[in-house]
Amino acid sequence: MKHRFLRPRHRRVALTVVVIGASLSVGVGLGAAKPADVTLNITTWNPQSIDQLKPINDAFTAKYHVTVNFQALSPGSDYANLIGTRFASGNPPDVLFIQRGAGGSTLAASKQLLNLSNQPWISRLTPAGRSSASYNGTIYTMPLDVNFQDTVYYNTELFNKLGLNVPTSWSQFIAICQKLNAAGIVPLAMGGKDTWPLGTIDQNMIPADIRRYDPTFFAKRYAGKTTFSSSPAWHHFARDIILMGQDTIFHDPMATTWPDSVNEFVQGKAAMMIGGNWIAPVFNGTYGQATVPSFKVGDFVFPYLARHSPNDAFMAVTVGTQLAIAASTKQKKAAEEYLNFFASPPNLSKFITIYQGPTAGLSGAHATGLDPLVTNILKTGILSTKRTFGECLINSVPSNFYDTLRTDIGKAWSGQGMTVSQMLSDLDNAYNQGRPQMTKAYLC
Amino acid sequence: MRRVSRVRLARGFRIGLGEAIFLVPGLALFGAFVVWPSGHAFYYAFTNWNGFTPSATWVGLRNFRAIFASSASWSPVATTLKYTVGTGILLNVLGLGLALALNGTGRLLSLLRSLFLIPLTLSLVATSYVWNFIFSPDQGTLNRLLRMLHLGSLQRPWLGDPHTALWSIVATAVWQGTALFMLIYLAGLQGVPSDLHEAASLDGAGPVRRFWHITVPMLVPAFLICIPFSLIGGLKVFDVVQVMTGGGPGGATETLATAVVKQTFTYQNAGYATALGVVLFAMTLIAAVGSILLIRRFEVRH
Repeated sequence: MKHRFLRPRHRRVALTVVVIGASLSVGVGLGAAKPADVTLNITTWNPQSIDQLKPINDAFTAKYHVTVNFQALSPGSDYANLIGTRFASGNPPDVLFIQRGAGGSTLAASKQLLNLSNQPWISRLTPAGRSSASYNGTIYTMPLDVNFQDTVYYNTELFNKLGLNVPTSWSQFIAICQKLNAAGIVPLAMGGKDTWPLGTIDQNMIPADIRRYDPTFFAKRYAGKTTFSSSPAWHHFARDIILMGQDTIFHDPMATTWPDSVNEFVQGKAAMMIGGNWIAPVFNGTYGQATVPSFKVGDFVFPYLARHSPNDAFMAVTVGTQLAIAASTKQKKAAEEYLNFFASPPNLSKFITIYQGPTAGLSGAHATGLDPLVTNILKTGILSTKRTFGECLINSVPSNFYDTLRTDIGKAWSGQGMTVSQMLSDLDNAYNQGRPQMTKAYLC
Repeated sequence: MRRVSRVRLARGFRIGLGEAIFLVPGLALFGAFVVWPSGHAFYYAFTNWNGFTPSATWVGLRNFRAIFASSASWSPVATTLKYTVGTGILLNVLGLGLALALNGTGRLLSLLRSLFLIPLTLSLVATSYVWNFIFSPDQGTLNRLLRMLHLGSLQRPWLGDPHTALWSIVATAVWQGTALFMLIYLAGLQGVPSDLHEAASLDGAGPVRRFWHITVPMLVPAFLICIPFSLIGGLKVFDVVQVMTGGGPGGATETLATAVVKQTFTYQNAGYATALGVVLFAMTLIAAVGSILLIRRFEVRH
């Protein structure tokens, strides 16, 4: 008897099942190929940016049919911790915004970021942008806004009332602080309790000292040919920053938080404060109820080590925000499209305008409607556009370095008897301890 | 007769196999979320793991040698011990004092007991934020109060002064935690038979003598809870310090737990941080077991 695999009725049923199954799988396959089913998880630290960047994200979704899940994880330094935890647990976002100094180079060194060296926007990287986006010669991030390092904002009413002029040298600055102190006004508001605001001081002073006294310091230190303790630049810096704690420039700097320091300034209790260009719109009437009606603000370059002329104070620039893609992302194509979309001159121009960045890390973008305080600063000072000292300073030392430095500044400013030699010895120890982590780091 | 299988869990403690099965889900969860991660932590303490990459290299005792060789490691240890001793004494003395004062019946005492329990209903993190404002140098309640009382010379940047920062944190933790200790001591006092006090009074014992010879020995079970609890809480302190000072000013309030977090996330030195965590675990274990054994000896003597 001839064996038949299936009876006719069964064959018909099987055929129907196969046809339906195949149709469904084709349908699913087509559906999967549709970009609309792709979701891109993007993280940032700034909750306000969810609304601020919504037009750009919506336009991206409309163009590429990719859903953007845009999350603000946590403001401040916690963001870097949370991102680190996400990478360690194997659950990183597809695309991440990276703050200045928030571990971009550490992630790159750990091979957690996608190599972006073959992206179309690479040819538009400015020298400043390239220096911050590179690690060991490879591009891992896309630089967005380039900012000048923190500048001094001052209460023009208070200055006028006390007959004070904008200082153009360090000695004038100290003299003004003494006059303000005598008038019972906090000269410079400082939120040192939150630690990171200490960087608004040290990241202004270190580039100036390095530039003048020891321009090749970081390369020599990396090669083991010098130490912090033997460097004239670092002696100068350590002496001045310790003296700042004794010169009554600040009032209780280590007990004051950043928001408290802003309040002190806008309420007229403090005459000056230091901040980046991103804070300029805050001072011009958008700080809400805390702003006193008579509050008027001007700004000047931090006059530390002004050289040949009053307007010759050196001012380093730094990349503020960078975009990166997790190396392990399953949405590589969509993530690269997102960066490309962001890199387009109109979108990048929108971004730097929102954050008041004077310029961008890619050519072709221009901020429109910069705050007058920002444009004023751009007329003065020396803007270093060839190198981003901010990133450079961070990448030229191991990750434990700035914590040690700011702990020592905290000791000095809270009366714990910090000396120049102790501070420099601590910095050498921190550098030596963290030195093994520095694999061919990008040096200043 | 059917023989029931029994499982010996510990000396003198046996349960039936059927009962033991009910322990399995709990033990599985405990194993998955406590034993397994803790075991992993012990492993990472002997590696150079940076906290980011999946791989870690075995480095033997290098992390522990670095901890014990570096003088910088001892500052968080000293701060942690100061905090533990400070809060340990204050929480127990104030808790016991309040319990003695509020032990009794009557509406006023009930009302006061309820009022003293209010801080306990708040989380320590929320309490720390509130006390941050109280200790604020310019607009803080404490300094304003001092100015109002013409005691302006006593004003301080409480959390920015290395001499007062840690004790300000201790004050906050004690304000929040005393109620719990009061509650435990109150429960202990309720268990002291009143006839013992009456008999001692008839024999001519005064209140102080009755306290030392009747109340204190009868409160040993409460001490067995409160003292180890305060020591463990003190040694592992993190939240209140992180919120109020972040370990500052200038590292003056850096504790072992905040140092672990800093080493992990700021220094990307997770292996070393885990070794610090193991040291903290050992300190906590010694303090907890040591205090229990010590108090139990006291209990036996009486």
